[in-house]
Amino acid sequence: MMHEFQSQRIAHTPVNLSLPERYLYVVSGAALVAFGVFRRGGAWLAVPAGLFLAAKGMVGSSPLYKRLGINTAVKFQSEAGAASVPHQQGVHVRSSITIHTSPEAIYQVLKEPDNLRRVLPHIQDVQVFDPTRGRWVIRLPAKQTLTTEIEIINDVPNEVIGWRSAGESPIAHAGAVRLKPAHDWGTEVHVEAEYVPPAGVLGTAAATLLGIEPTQLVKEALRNLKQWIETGEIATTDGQPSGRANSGSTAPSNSSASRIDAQSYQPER
Amino acid sequence: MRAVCWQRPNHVSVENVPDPTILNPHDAIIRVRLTSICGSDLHLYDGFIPSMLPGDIIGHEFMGEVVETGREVHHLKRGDRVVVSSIIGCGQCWYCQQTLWSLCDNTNPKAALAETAYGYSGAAIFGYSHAFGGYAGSHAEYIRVPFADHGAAVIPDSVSDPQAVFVSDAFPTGFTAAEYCNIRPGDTVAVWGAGAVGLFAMRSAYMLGAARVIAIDRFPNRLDMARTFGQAETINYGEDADVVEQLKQMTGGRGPDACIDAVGLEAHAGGLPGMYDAVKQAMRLETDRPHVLRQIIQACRKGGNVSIIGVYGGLVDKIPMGAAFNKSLTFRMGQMHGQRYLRPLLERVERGEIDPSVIMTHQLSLEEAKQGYEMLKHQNNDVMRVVFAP
Repeated sequence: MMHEFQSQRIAHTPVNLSLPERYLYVVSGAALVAFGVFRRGGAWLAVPAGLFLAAKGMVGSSPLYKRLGINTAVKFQSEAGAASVPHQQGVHVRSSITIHTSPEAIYQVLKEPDNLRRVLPHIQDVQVFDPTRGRWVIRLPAKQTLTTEIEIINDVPNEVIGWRSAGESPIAHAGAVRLKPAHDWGTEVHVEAEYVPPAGVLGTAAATLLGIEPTQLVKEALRNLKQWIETGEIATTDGQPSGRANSGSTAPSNSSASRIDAQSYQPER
Repeated sequence: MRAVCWQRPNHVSVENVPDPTILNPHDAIIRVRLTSICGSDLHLYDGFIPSMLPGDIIGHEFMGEVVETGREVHHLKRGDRVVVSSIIGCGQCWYCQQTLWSLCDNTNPKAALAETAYGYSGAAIFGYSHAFGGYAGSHAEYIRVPFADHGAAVIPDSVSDPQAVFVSDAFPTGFTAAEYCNIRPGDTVAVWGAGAVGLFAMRSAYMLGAARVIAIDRFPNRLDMARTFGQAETINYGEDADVVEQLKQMTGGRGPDACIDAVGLEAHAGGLPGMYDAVKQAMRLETDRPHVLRQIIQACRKGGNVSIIGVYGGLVDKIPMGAAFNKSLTFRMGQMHGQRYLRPLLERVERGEIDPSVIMTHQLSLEEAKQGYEMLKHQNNDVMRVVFAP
């Protein structure tokens, strides 16, 4: 499932148009050619344009989509039963943290849905169907939610847990959590994952603005996991007083507040 | 409750805000009895610490009385009189277990912000900007103290409130500065900056075996305090322009064995170097004015120790690295690890080795916050430490 790292680069394939889009290109291209040829007096410029569109539809590749990182072909490939994140088509996420405890303790925590509810950012619900299948419901802005089914595809106690998205998941994703002893520091927790954003780089940018960009989410989840395991609580200032209006009740969550700060805050140079 | 809120550089206001509540199981709520303006609060006031938001409650040096405890607080109870470390440590991470409390992994909820600036996030600090956690500070009637079992120490009955409050920050910070000097019996230690931290560093240097302490400042009242409280010889850099030469003559041509920078990022300097840093800082070409640090590197004896305890926040310029390298200087620096020192320093106060209350020159009410900050900023009224009694 995991292939070698491509540090958060969007990989490209020649085919990035979905089948309906390709049909649309071919049909409209052919119509343009016909228009150019049969129009009285001739509309000869329309002929090469039509040929171009038709050819594009037949090849199935859009340079504009490529530039934008959009690949509407992916969904169809997924439904055809391939891996949830097709080879070379995901955005890579990689993060690690060291937790001051044993691999066994971390593994136990990860296997308990209640703990996932605590440490996963923006999580609304974690449902468990059976030992290898479950469902996560993630809160989005404007009271929207994103539901994704999870399938555990690799489980070596105290060493690795691998997953992939399954069933009706709007975002295809797959990844693994690996545990590695680190002398008196405790245990290194390495997360590697890939996902296919719904609309390429545009989707990733939108997600970043909304505070749900997966790289940020993974980092935050690991930090929360560490705090939860080491101290039994997750550090927060949500609900503390301040001299700002409505403090203590409608203060923004730490996570989103910190990201807003991080964007506006530049170390002086 | 009433609380002092940072609004913008050079502007604080006293506001009505909600009372703090227990948010996590290791929290305690403390009714603040005394809280001081630390020299580092002036960096916030002057606008040199980024990631402040209007409305942030400031203040980090305080003592008070426990009024409520979370369900996982086991060593404190309602009514305990406590002094609280200004930095917040979880007690469980690798760093805390090595007693490197100011490097705590777990207490900064906005760690991503600190990582952006520093690569990794250290411990949170009360009331000291969002890069350091964004926790509400102590210039208020009540304060929420996370991980209170580690951060709050019960004050012995024989130690008064004014004696205890500086064990929160200034005294352990000065003690840490002296520890960074790797003092051997008989050493001479020079301390730049005779503010509260510098004064505690002078006393701590003697506690750790120094034979001589030399203080460098320019304010007469501070030099007086350095002589009386700090038991130091003094150099007034306003009069003796060549501090390096003066130190050389006072040490038989060798230079001090260790030098402490208890000034930090807003050093005053005269002449061209001073103007150079003031202009660059004003233009934001460098964030910190490192004049003292440059002078220390020049003044310190070969193979000596440089201890940096005055706060730096960002970038400095024109550090004489060649001098530091070729003289084989040892540099040690960083925030103090407060939880490590609370009880040992309270014991020194209890035994009568030192009376920290001497540096508390002004006690004001919270409502007088603005006057307090202005007084400390402009060094009016022979001020050393302003303390609020909320």
